[in-house]
Amino acid sequence: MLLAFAIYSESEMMKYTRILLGMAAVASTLMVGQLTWAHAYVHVTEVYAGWRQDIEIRIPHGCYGSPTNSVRVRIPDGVVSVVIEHNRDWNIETRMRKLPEPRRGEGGVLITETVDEIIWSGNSLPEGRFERFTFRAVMPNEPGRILWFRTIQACDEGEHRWVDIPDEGANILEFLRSAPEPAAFVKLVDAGRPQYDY
Amino acid sequence: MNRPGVFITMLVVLAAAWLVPVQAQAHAVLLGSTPAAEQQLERSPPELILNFNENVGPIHFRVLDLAGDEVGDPGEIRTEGNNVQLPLNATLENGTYVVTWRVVSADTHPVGGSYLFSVGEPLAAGAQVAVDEANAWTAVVFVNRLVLYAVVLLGVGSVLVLRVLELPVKAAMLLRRQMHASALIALVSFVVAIGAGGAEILAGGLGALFDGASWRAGAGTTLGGSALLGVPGALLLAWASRASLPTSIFAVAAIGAALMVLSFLLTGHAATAQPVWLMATMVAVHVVCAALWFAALLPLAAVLGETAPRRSAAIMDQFSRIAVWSVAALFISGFVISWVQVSELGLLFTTDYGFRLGIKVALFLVLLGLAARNKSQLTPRLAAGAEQARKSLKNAIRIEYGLIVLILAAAVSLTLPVPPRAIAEQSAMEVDTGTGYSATAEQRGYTARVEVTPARTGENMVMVYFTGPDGETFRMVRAAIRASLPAASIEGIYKVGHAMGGGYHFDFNEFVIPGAWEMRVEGFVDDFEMLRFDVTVQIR
Repeated sequence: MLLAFAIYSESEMMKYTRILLGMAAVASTLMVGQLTWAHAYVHVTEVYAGWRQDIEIRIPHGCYGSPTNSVRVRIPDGVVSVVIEHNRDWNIETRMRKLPEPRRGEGGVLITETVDEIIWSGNSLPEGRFERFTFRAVMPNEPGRILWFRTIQACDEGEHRWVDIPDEGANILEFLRSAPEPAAFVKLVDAGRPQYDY
Repeated sequence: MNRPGVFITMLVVLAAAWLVPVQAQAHAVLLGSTPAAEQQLERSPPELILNFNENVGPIHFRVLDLAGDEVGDPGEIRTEGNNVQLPLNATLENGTYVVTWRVVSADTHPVGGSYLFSVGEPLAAGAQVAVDEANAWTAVVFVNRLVLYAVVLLGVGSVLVLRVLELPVKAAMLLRRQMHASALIALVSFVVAIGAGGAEILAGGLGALFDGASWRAGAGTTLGGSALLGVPGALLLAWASRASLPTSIFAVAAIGAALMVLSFLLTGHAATAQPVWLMATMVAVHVVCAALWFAALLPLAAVLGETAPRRSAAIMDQFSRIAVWSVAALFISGFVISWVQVSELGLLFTTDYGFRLGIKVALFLVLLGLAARNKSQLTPRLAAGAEQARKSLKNAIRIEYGLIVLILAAAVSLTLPVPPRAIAEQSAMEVDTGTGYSATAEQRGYTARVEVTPARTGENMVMVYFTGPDGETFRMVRAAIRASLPAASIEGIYKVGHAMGGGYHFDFNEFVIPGAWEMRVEGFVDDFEMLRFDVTVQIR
């Protein structure tokens, strides 16, 4: 985990202490839960707001013994420029949605659409093995916000809908402790400045 | 009685006749009851519960058999939050029963109703409940309140007019007489309001005004507090208006007028709605501006009759310059009050309250049109000495008088029905229907109604119906239920529903222990967007 941060903060050595402290705060509570964490989750707990980051969603188990045959992830608002990691084992499809406001991409291209949903299908992930489903994307420049990646895991028999998110203003740890199927999440932290200014 | 007097009396009577019948629905709203209306119970209920949208004071609450005799050996009526409970000490035999109730809400309006339920057998064929009608006292309360509004405005307004207009002696005398008469009538009217209000609450007969119970009931409402300020205010004003009003006595009159305005703030919807400080200020501004306009009409008519055209034109002009400001203040305060009361624009067109508010505003606009014509056309011609203009102005003032009385009648009628604000308030409610259990929960504007049949241990059928923010049936793409019984540490029951009819159907064999089962209904607006509806269901 530290390595991941190190890569993205080469020139930001100063921030280590703060990041470590922040991680300790969020992670320590989560780590305790992580011991029994059996939900779909993002492999890191924090990423940089306003930066291009890798998001790796992990599916830790099947559906009550049944193997997983597809995983669908909905991309939250503000997450743009989605690029999915190539994967030889799964068929990958995407669904697009219109952006509320068109934006300029690199080179000034006008972009009106963004990825709404990524679908991995056409394989069988046995119970008792975990798998990573990875994509890169530019995070919204909103330090402090928690991004919820709603995920639907379909199995040969049954499914898990990791789509529950807390009500506005709710205590998140309380929510995570009690929600039967919470969505995967990651916290946006301040990187001092955004990587991109859009 | 002179001609304008007859005219005004006719208007009052007409307005009353026109507005009183719509009073049938009053403040507090019954949201549900146990047993529910028309329900067939298997066993005699241990108690009856009425659930309202706000705190209410019970007046009566009884179970009658079809012969009209009280049954069930009821204990004392209890209020708990918005619920009113009636414990029954005796079991009801199989048969059909009538529940009849009457309560009074925070702003003095009594509501009553009746409904049927049966024990052990279907409802008796043809059994019907007599409709709880607005009683004769409702009309008395209405007319009295209209009189009270009118004389308080005239009294308060007279004090203001005396200060802001330089009237010739004769018109000033008339104004003082208006102030004196208004104060005396207000005095009586404030007191009558208590007795008549009490009689209305108790649905008393014609002699109810001579019954101490009516007065106690009336004094217990906000009318009591209102009179506590209004009566001394009216007394001060009546006393002050006898003298020729040097500055020191004018102060007494002003205090009296202020007390009367304050008394208005203590009762009625507008005064009890949140935020209180804003509403109180707006109501006060509204009352004072209306008062100024209303009270000025009589002396202005006198001025037109007696005084030289040039001088009367000057006074008319003086009045219209003040009137312009007061109209603006009237409009703004009226707008704010309506905004808080109506809260949603659409409700203006769909509710009775909105309709009456519309009438009031329309009448006000006509009044405004008249006033504008007076100011822009008639007054300049009067100044030029045209006799015809004098007559037209006098006529216009007479019509304005009638219009204001009608506006007042509309304003009084606004104090009677349930404002949309109360209708818009929603609450989750749970009802034991005897043959099953039903519970409702709300989430982000959507509601889910959960019906469990028969709500006893063993096999159960659960139906869930969703409605969208528009109040229409909403088709979720998927619905699931997670059930648990925390008291017995039972959890982890998860069921996905099948679409059936207008809702989702679930078979539940898991209710093995009676108790308060917690059910979380998960409704999916789309594949990923899930709404949680938490309800508790009593399984017996």
